[in-house]
Amino acid sequence: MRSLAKAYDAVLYGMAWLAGVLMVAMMAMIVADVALRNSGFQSSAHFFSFTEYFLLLIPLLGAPWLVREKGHIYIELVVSALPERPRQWLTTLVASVCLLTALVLAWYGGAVTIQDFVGNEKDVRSLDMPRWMLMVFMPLGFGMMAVEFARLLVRRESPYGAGLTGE
Amino acid sequence: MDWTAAIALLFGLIVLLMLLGIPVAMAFLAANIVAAMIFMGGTKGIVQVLNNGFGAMTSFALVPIPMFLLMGDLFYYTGLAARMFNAIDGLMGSVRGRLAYVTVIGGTGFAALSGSSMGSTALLGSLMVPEMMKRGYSKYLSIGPIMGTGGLAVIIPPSALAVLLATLGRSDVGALLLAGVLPGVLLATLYAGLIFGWTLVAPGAAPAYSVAPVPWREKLRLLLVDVVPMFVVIVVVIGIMIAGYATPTEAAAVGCLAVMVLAACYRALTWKSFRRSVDAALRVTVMAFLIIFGSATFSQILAFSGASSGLIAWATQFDIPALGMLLVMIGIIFFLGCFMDQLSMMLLTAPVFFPLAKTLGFDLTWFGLIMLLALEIGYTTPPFGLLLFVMKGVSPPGTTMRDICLAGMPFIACVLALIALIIVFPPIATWLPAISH
Repeated sequence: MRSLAKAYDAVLYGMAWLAGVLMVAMMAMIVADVALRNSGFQSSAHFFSFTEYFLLLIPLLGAPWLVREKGHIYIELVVSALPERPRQWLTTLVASVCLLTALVLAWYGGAVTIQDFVGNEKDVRSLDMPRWMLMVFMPLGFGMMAVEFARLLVRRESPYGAGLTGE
Repeated sequence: MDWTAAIALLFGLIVLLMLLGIPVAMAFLAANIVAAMIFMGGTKGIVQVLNNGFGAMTSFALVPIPMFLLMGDLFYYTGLAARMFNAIDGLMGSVRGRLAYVTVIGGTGFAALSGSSMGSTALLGSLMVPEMMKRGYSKYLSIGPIMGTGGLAVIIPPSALAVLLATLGRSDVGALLLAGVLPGVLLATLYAGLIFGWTLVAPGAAPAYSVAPVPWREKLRLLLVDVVPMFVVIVVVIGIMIAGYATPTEAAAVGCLAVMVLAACYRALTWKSFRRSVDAALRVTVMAFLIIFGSATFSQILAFSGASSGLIAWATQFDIPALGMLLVMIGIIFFLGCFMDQLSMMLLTAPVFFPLAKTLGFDLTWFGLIMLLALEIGYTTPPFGLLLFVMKGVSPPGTTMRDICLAGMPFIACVLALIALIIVFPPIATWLPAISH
């Protein structure tokens, strides 16, 4: 069990790491594109497509990590005004709603991914990208977010960070 | 379901979930799932939410958001920001109220390079307040300019929020970014004027103190080594957009690289500072994009259920002049700003306000800029403006929320004056975007 948890953590942090790498890669690609174009070379239209795909991948890869890090912003108007007991109830409710939302998105994200795979759907930009290869990050990201919210519930932990804004 | 019920359900659900303390991104997603199920045919609606999210996020216009965030965080975590402040401090001489001016000038530079109100307020607060208190500045003059310059970050390009607002309002991203340049400089000048007047009327607010004279050779060195290069980066990022050499996306990526090269030249680009910058930029990017994921469906449902057109038809039937409608919209943002963050306010209002502005015949860039300024005021208004809490966090012990609110008031008045100026003289906002085309 412990090694499973360790492996899961490695995947969670690995995904966040990859999201960071993609962000830097995105910058490098755009700079390369500008440099190539301005020095008279033909730059690749694929730069454009992959940059757009990265925009989808970065948040989905980083979302579970952000829940773990308690980095989401929230309005603390009601939460902070409550006494200890009701606040605990409320944070349980909050984590439950988040869990349910993430589960629904993961479930239907999975269904769309399978549909795209079976129907051989393509996302047509500069290249014909099999759509499932992109959609699969939705069940992955939202599914792991669901795990993170479930973890908070089981451990009776608050989803909020130390600061008022959760940061 | 008629459009009034649709609006009540959509806005009501989002606001309720947010007030319960559900993270903003999840509140948006949850409300959209429920509304999509009602208005878009049950579970088909959820599939629509996912497909909309896919479409909204893979939009090239949004690339500047992570890039501008990374640029600002690199500037902060490599220590370039603190370096620039120290240099401006050294250059200032012994003017009365010098530290308040240092805050405004340095804060304007930081705002231009970082685009983050919170980062700017946190940095200025921790850097300048202790020094000002030590020098006997009144707490209002210590805190006020910081709150004010924190607000500049939203309008002076590069501003991630401006990119998002223009995308949501389907107006020109580059134009809105450029529209903020002149008003930004004007606002900084208004702040400086305010400080001048303040120290004239109440000299005790900023006691004069002797500063060890800095030889002119040292001043020249500070200027050339620690100030000019930073401003060159700003000028390059804004300049290549105006000249049309690069799109906002490209300017953002080039700006990022420029800050990295600059940090490397100062030997400040360590693995640790780089990692911290990417980490910080990633946090905000992930959160913002999750909210955008839900927002695509939000505006679609508003249109689909007839809520957008219904609300616009309703709002325009009263024969209120366009200016009156503008003031009502600004008022709504101020009200929401009392308990919401800027992203949520933008996502709730932009899908309705921009089509309304179009119907009223407003220039969308001009309107976008006014909306940004209003959002910024919303950020600093009591009782729950987020900047107030950031400021409280970095202020010396004993500073009350009341002190912070009062200190911010004169500076909020400056922003209001600027909004009035832009309404009366629209070219303040529209001239620069017009000549760049």
